[in-house]
Amino acid sequence: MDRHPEHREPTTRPTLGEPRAFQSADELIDPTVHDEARLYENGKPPVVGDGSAVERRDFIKVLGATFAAATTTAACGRLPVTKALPYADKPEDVIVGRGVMYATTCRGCSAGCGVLVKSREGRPIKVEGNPGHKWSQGGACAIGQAQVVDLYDGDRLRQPMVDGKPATWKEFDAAAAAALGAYASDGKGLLLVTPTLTGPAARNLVQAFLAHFAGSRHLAYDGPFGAGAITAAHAATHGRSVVPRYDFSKAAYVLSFGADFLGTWIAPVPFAKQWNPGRKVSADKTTMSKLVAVESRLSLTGSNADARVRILPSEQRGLVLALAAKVATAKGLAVQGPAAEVKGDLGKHLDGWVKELLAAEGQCLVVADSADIAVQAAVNVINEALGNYGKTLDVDAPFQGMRGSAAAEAEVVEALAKGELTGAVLWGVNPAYDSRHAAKWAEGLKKAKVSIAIAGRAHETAAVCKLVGASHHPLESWGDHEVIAGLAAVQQPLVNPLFDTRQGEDLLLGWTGAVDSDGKPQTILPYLRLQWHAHVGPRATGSADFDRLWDSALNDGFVELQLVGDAAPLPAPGPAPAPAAVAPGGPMVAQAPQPSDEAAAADRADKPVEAAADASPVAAPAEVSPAALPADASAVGLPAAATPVVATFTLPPVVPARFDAAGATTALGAAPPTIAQAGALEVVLYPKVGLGAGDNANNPMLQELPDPISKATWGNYACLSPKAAKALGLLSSDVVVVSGGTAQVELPVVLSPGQHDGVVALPIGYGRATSVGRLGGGVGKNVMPFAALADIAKADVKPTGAKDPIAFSQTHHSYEHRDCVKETTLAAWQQDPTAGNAALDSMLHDPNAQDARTTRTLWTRHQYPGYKWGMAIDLNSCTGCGACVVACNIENNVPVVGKHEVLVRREMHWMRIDRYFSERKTFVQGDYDWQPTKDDLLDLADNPEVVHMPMLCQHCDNAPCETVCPVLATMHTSEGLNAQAYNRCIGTRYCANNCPYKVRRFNWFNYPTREMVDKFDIDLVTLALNPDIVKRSRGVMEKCSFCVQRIQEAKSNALRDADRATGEKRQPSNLDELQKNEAAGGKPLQPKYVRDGEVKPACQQTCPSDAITFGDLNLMDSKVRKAYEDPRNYSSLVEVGTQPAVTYMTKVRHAAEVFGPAQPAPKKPAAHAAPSAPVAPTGGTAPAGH
Amino acid sequence: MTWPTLSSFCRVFMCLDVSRSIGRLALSAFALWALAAVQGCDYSEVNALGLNKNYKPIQPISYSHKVHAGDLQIDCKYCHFGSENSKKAGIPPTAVCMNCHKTVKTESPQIVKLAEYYKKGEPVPWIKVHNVPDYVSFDHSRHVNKGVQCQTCHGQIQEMAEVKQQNTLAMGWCVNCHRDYTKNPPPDLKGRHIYATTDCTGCHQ
Repeated sequence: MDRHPEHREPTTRPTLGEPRAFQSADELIDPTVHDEARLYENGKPPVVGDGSAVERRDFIKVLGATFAAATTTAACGRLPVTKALPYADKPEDVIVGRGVMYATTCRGCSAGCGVLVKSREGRPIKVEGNPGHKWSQGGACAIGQAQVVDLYDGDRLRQPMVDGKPATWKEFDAAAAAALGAYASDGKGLLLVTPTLTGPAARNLVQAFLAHFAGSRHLAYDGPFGAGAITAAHAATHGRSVVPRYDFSKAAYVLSFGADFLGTWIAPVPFAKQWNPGRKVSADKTTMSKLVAVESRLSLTGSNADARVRILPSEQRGLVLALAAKVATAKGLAVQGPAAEVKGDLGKHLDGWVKELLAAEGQCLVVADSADIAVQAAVNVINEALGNYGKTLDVDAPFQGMRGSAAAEAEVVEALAKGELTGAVLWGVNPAYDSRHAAKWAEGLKKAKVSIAIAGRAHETAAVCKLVGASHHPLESWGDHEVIAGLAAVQQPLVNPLFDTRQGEDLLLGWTGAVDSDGKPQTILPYLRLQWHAHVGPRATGSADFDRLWDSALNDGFVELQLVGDAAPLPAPGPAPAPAAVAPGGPMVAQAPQPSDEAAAADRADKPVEAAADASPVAAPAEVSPAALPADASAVGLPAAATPVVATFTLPPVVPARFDAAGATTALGAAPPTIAQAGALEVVLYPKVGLGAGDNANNPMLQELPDPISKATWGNYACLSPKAAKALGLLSSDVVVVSGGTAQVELPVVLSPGQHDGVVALPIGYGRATSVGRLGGGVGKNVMPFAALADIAKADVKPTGAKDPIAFSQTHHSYEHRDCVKETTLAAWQQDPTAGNAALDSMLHDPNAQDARTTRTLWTRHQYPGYKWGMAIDLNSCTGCGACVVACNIENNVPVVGKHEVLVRREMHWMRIDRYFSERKTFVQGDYDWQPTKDDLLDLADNPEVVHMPMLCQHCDNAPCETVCPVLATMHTSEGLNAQAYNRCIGTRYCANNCPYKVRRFNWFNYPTREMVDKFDIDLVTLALNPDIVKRSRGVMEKCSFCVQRIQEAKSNALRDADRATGEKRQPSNLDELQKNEAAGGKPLQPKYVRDGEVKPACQQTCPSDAITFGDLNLMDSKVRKAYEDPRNYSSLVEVGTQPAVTYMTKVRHAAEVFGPAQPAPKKPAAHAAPSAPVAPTGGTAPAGH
Repeated sequence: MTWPTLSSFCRVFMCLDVSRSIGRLALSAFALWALAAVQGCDYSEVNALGLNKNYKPIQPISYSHKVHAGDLQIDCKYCHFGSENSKKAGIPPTAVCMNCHKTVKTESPQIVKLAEYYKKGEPVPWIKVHNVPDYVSFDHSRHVNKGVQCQTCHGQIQEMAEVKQQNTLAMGWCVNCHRDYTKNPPPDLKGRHIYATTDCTGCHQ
């Protein structure tokens, strides 16, 4: 990328050998490294035997046979018969041919986002963000989107296992009863390990388990990177063992010490939703929040930061403690920590941060991703000193999704290994793979008398457990969650279980002997309603009728609750409210248990409270057990109600948390992290945005999602900074041995600009056992052994001389260094709203051109009498997280092609996010004629600025693809879409070769190819396909359609409103025009019934940053039209004159003051004003067509 | 045109999986020409892509639209209730049949058969008559709500004892209507802003 080509004389334009901007750091070392990629910009053509499902010779053979068959059977042939099978008895809410959305809670991670899942005839086919949800606000991430692919994964457990062999549930139940009997014989107690449970029902179920198996302990396990240190630090500084509820929307200044809050830290989707509004700039809002990232490797958050400082992991503690000391001193907070002075550049940065923080008191936020309690305590001190509590973070209504503690885990795993516990029940966790104590877990579980895993897959922990209860997928399960205190959410099943699995809750209820009021074994749905009646109903702020409350929770996905303090004791749950005769539950859950005996219900309702409580199915635990839910477990503890009517109670009020200076001082002195001294480089282990800690390893969509920064797919690697790699003579894909102490792993290298030279970063979540699944098992290497070495492991990196090609996607679609990203600084933009984008006209040397986006053309213009669909993408908002890519893939049935196919540049993603590194140095110095040496270029990679640019079909008005198609398979529609008629395409690929944006994808094969075909259960995966979209076959070109099926659906819905007597009678927005035209007898016009915002392509719907706006450019007050007229709006590669319908908004950053000299003065100081007379995209009056 | 010729064309068509590619269409056209030459029928007629016109399969239950829609004047939308709300008009769930046939003509062998399906909870394996290729997206609700009569596409269905495909349902046939309707909407639809698109994306998504 080139920031300012308009200012440069042609002689100073970069040539291929002199990249000023770079897509991969390899080209800084070896400029020819991607030449092959540039040759095959649309994928390497296949050769015989390259892994395709059908080889050419076979194809010819089959062809011959077909002719023969056709000829012989011709005379007696019959039409292929298609059957039309109706429902015998259609469920009420199914409309055949239309999707129905159900609200539920995503279980892809612990963030607890609200989602809507689209169900077509009983099959969930698409996850979308729930726009009404108070926490996630309509966003969904890549992992959440891909849950639907996970559901149809045939490698999930299909039945329970006993002693490593598949068994029936009868055998499992018998074995489990015998095993749990062992508890009775030695009475030592069981260990129950779960992820952090937040819902009232789930938490009380744990209490019931602990009460039933006395002496048992519960461990909340949050995976390898919990938030235990944050919880512990808050216990010390504020007397609350909680993770606060962060609110980035109120923070004008964020200082993040390694916390990748836009990518992987705690709750990235809600955080991105909160963070984004502050980053928007417009004529009405000319200020912007600022983000400073201090980190060891380039994280997604770091790539979006205004300023970035590279530190070693071992430097973090000293830096944060010193910052805390300075801020505390400045604000007169009586806290004393062991702070040493920080010298050199870091010291200067430190002083800069102190100044900036003090300038933003009460509207700033400091966060850190660290397992060091002293660091977290120091962060709390800083936030407290600056008065941020109650403003940008809240401990009174905390985030409850992570309550695990590393110390507790270390303690129980030790107890298990020593045989102090009878055994363990592990529900929904996999510590034998992803814990730093993985080896100890495996050893302890092997030794234990009782080891039961309740798991959806035969993962590493299940492999060492004697019994494995196969559990439902989250999309098949009931559940409840209160991830944010005061927001209770329901998780409802979307489909009947595909396999012979059970819900984990049902197993636990069975083992605790819970029965319903009829004496039958209790099951999850009645239990859930019972618990909600007792614990959610009284806190609900709206409804007084429980059934109504429950229905609204199912409908909305959540209910808002009153916050309660810690005063109330843990009660017994009240009597069961009579479930409705038909559970107002998910679709197709006829199997869901519904003990709806009306007489019994009436009987129950009449019972007095005491009697009812006695009959309650779950015994009340006498007290909270040692390792049970901490702190405000009693938040769910409310008096029981006797009737289905929700009574009003006086709830204990929340007492605001107070800062405890003495506690803080103690916590600041917590033991420093242990550092292993084995090697030269410090090891950073990190979860990837798409894969997390590896739970999703068998999800092909996520394996093939390019990492937002490295742009690598399928497998992990060792990240080294370009300088560190050059010192070792390495380029990307060279294999190295990373060894430190007992841990050793062989991985290919990825050159990672922005990484500290003294760090080797390793993505976790790979190297899963083959039993996890055919696709993801064995992909990459497990790097968790490095976590076992010490808090900060060190390692040496040695080249092996071997190569292991990494399937990158970034270098495939080369723009040959053409300028397509525009950016500027906030200061420059405030002076001139066209800053960074002002040069369009001068660049085109067209004195008459008012708007380069639309005016230059050799062609006669298309006319768009009705709609003119357009999209605007705000580069200021886009964080590059990749959620849109997965959303697009799932919505549009885009195939997964596998590592080999990605390596030969044949990935099929319609939407990709291009990641550009750029030259901070020239920009800061304002020296446009700077001629860098090779070493200078490597300096650029030290700490580059990053731009993420979503790239999809630009739906050009002058589409180069349309003019070269020999069969008119790609055509321009009257609404501005660049349509692709797959059934017309003959596969010449001329269009792809002529596309300057490289967004067309060719089906080289019928997917899945031979590489993948044995790894899917095609029958199952097919169920996830969107039936509104054609599945493309071999030899056909495809590309983004602007989600034309959604446009059509929105039109159908609007027309239904317009044409039918029932419902709202809609009028077209262009009614006047229509009537005039009809009176004049003109050519018929399309009535425009669709309103702004009613069409949302999949990418826009899911975007956690609201970067994408879509709508009708002909509608003058539409959001997209306003974005189009913003001075920041530009067309990518405007000089080629394609006049795209997709436009971008210049990226605006805070100038990086702390890094260098001041910005060059803006060239064109001008007031904020509307651009001069924008030209309508409808163009002139010439006839349409080329 | 005779059935064997038509269906043999279809067989060739399906075997080669030509449905998405003109190149292969050319290939199948060649095959077809060869077949037509062997059988001595009119090549041009077969090539008109009116593949399934006059298709009248034998249904598992001999349901008569003539009796229900014609003689008894039951509204089409009573059974095909999706036609106003959805892309798919839908084959009625068996339960809809049983609304009446719990009491009406319960002794008739055909109704006994129907009741058996219902009792077992199995779908009646109706044979689909009007079948457009997968790459065509047809939305019933758009057409029905705008006042397009069922008979426009499905023929005089109220007179059919056995359903027969009256029209070719080929692209040319659709597009003709889309052109004509927009230019000259039927008198009773005047003022309803009739607009039928001829964009590719109207049907191919």
